[in-house]
Order: sequence, then C-alpha cells, then structure tokens
Amino acid sequence: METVIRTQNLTKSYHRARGIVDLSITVKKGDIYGFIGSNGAGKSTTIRILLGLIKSSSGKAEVFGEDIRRRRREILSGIGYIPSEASYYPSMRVIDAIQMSANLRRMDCAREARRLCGILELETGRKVEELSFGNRKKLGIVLALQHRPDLLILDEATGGLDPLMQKAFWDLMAQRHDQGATIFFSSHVLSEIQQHCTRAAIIREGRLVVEDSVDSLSRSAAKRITLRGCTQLPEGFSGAFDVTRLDGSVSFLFRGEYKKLLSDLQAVVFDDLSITEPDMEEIFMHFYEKEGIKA
Amino acid sequence: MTVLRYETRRGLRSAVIWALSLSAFTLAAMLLYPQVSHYSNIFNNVIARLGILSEIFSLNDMDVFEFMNYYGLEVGNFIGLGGGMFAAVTGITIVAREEGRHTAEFLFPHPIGRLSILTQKFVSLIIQIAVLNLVCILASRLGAGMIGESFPGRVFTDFHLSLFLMNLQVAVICFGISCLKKRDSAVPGLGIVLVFYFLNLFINVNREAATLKNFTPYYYTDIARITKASGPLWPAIGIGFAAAGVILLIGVIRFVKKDLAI
Repeated sequence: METVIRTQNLTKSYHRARGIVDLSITVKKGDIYGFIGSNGAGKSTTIRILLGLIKSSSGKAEVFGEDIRRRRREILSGIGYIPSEASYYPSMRVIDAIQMSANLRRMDCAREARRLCGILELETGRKVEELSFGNRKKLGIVLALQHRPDLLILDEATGGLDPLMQKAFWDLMAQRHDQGATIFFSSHVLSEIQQHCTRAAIIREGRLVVEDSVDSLSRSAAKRITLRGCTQLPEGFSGAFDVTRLDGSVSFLFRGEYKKLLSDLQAVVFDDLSITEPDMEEIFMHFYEKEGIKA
Repeated sequence: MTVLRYETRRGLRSAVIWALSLSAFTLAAMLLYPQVSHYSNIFNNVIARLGILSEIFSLNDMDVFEFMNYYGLEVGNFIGLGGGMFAAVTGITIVAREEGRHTAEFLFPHPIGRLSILTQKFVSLIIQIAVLNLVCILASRLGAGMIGESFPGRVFTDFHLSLFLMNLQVAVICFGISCLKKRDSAVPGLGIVLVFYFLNLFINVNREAATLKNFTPYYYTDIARITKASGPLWPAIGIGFAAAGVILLIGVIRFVKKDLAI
C-alpha cells in the first residue's frame, strides 16, 4: 500500500532540550494513525518537521513520497493541519480567515467552507479575537478541511470541543477517511485513539516505543485478569503487574504463558475469573512504564 | 498576493493615523509661519544667542525664515522623526509578529514559500511608508496654499525624496532585524531611530565627526545640506542603503532557513 508519511531515524536536537531521537514511523494511505505520547514526548516536534516548520537535525521525513525539505510547497498543498493551540489574526473575521486560507491555497473553497461552518455551528461574521478556545478550534477544523486534503495532520484536535462537537468532528473525519484521506492524529486521549484509529505509535522521551495496528497493540499488550472472591495472588506468582485489590477481588495485568497462569491460579481459591482486553490507557502504560511493577 | 493584501489592509489604517497626526503638526507649524517670519528680526537675535543649539539644528547654515528652509526644519523634525518611528515600528514587527503572536502556525503550513511571504510583507511595508509620505506631502501643499506660499519645486521634491528614502532605509534595517527576532517588540526599532536621530545632531555639533555621517540616514535629510548640494546626497544615500541591504540579506537568509518558533 502507498506510503503517505515515512520518517527514518528522524532526530531533532535543541540546544538544551531533547526533541526526538531516531524516530522511524510509517503511515500508509488510508490509515487513521494515532500518535500517542505524554506532554513533551516529541509529538508536536515530529508534526512540525512534517510540515516543514522546523528542520530535523538528522534523518529523513517524507510525505507523499517526497522529502519535506525539497518539496515543501507541493506537499503542503495536500495537507490539512489542525494545531493544538491555534492562533489566528485576532482582528480578522472568521469568514476572512477562511477566505485568506483558501486564497493562500489558490482554491475556491467557499462551498465546502459554508458546509463545514454549518455542521460545526461556527459563526462566520465574528472576529477571531471574540472566539472562545473551542470556537477557534472549530475554525481550525474548517481551515484544515475546506480544501479537501489527502492527508490530515491533527495535533490534539479535539481539545476544547464539547462532546457533541467531538462527535461531529469524528463524523467529519470518518467521511473524509471514506473518501480516501489519510489521518495522522496526535493525542494523549487514549480512548479516542482506541475508538477511531487503525494504527498507532507510542512515543516516549522522543523515541518510538512501539508502532503497530491498534488491534495488535491490544493483543500484544497484557490482558487484564480479575479474580473475584480472592485478594491474594499465589506466592511466587510472576508475570503480573498493576495489581489492584477492591471489594474482595484482585485484578492485575498479565503477560506470559496462559498455561502457567492457570496452573499457578490453582493454588488460590476464587469464585470467578475474567480475562479481558486492556483498555488503551493500560496498553499505553504497559509500553510507557520504564519498568513494570512486579506483583 | 494574499499576504500583501492582508498586510497592506491591516497596516494602512495605522499608516493613515500616523500620517494624519504628522500632517496636523506640519499644518500647525506652517500656519505659524506668517507670524514667525513677521518677527524674523527678533528670532534672528534669539538664534544668534543660541550658540551650540543653533549648530545642533543647523540653524546657522541658512536663513531659517526663508519659507522652504523653515518648512524643511520643522517638517524635517516632524516627518523625519515621526516617519522614521513609523517605519521602524512597522518594519521591526511585520515579520517577528508571526512568531511572537503565534500566528506562524496558521500562515506557514500553507503552500507558500517563506521567501514569497517575506517579499509580500516587504512590498506592503514600502506601500505603507509611501502612503504616509504622500499624505504628509498633500498636507504640506494644502498648508502652503492656506498661507499663500509656494514651494520651490526642485528643493521640495529633493527634500521629500530624501525623507522617503530615509524612512525606507530605516524600514529595510528594521525588516532585516525583524527576520532575526522571535518577539514582536517595537522597542528596538524605536531605539534605532533615536540613535540615528541623535547621531545626526552629534555630527552637527562635532564637524570632525562627519565620518559618522554614513551611519545615520538623518544626515541626508538635512535641508541645509540638500540645498547646498543642489539635490539629494546620493553618496550618503547609497552607502546607507548598501549597509541596510546587508542587514536585510542576513535577516532574509536566516529566516528562510531557521526553525520557526511557535
């Protein structure tokens, strides 16, 4: 399948702070790609390199198969970008900002812009300086979508949107995805990644921790085991971490051989046993913790 | 041309406000001329006693009550200093503002080259300075008509051309510096203009410091020097613009290559 974003050993060093280190990720056409990491992990740095706003110290960043350093203008014409904290010219009216963006792209996007403003309930006659954070976010969404880009790069795009608008936003993303757009979605809201993304990468302290399909990540991560009617694990039991005890039950994440798990559990008495897929939060923590907490 | 249109529309309001303010001062000074010239004998005695002050403002090099000289001195101060400040404030913030106010994250992800953005902003800056100068010239013509005086065409043109070029040189320098800055503070621009202005006053007092003349564009806007040279002081203008061009070039090259602070 066609590759839309590829970074190879991408590194960005700042004078004092770490940026990203040897980051290699691949986003295929049609992916809804989740880019997960805590604040300061290097998500925005990666995005800014992909947009040509900053230059990498070493490594390669390609979008649509082209080097962003060499074909920046051509690449950007196919990208829609929603920044995490967008600032627009404050004295401008919303409609003028939308028109200016379309003009910068040398496109007539008036019809699509009107449709998007309608869906997002964005008042176009207001001045940007009068908009709340959520409404500025809506403006960012319109600016990113109005020219129907092939690639959407979204940096914490749903922050500031109320639940109804978040739903409208994801409906729009689904529409665009159905029409063939690739979506690169940076976030630390893990439930969104799990719910909407097909593939994901976890980044920690500037380095890639893991990159895979969300399904595989769920499978490769530990399972959540819950024993009811029991609060103690067998002595010498290994492979369990994130152990919690509540209301006469013990719950833990387990990664290891299930045959051995079942054999070890025979040493304790319990009423009920459940094995479930971990949620995204647990997957994240599983890959994110430097060392797992041993039971 | 989108950036040019936006910048010009945004900046023109400010340019017109500055121009009207300077024009008001200019008109006031011109309307005082008939009374001032009527008491020229008294004022000449005062000037003769000013000593070093008359040298600072080049009052001893010419008949300050001749209409064009009077105009050049007064307007030289108003439009020279005010226009220089406008050029500096506008020039030093026009690029740095994008990073300083975080609008770079809106503008630069569009498919438009940084050099194109800089070019359009620079052209807009020139347009704004031209508008300011044009309004001031029109106000001067109006003022002259109101008091029944007329300007000697050649000297008037040379003088205003020199003022415009001085504004432009300040703008070029500040634009170059703006490309290097990450915050949109106007203070450095105002500082530059004041240093240039006072450097010219310093040169007026210390004739042996004339070698500094190439370091201040105010030197070539002095009406006495323009009259004496029978035209704009092209060597000083040329050297001034060459130096400003180097600063501009350094700024543009750096801006095109640098990481944008967002």
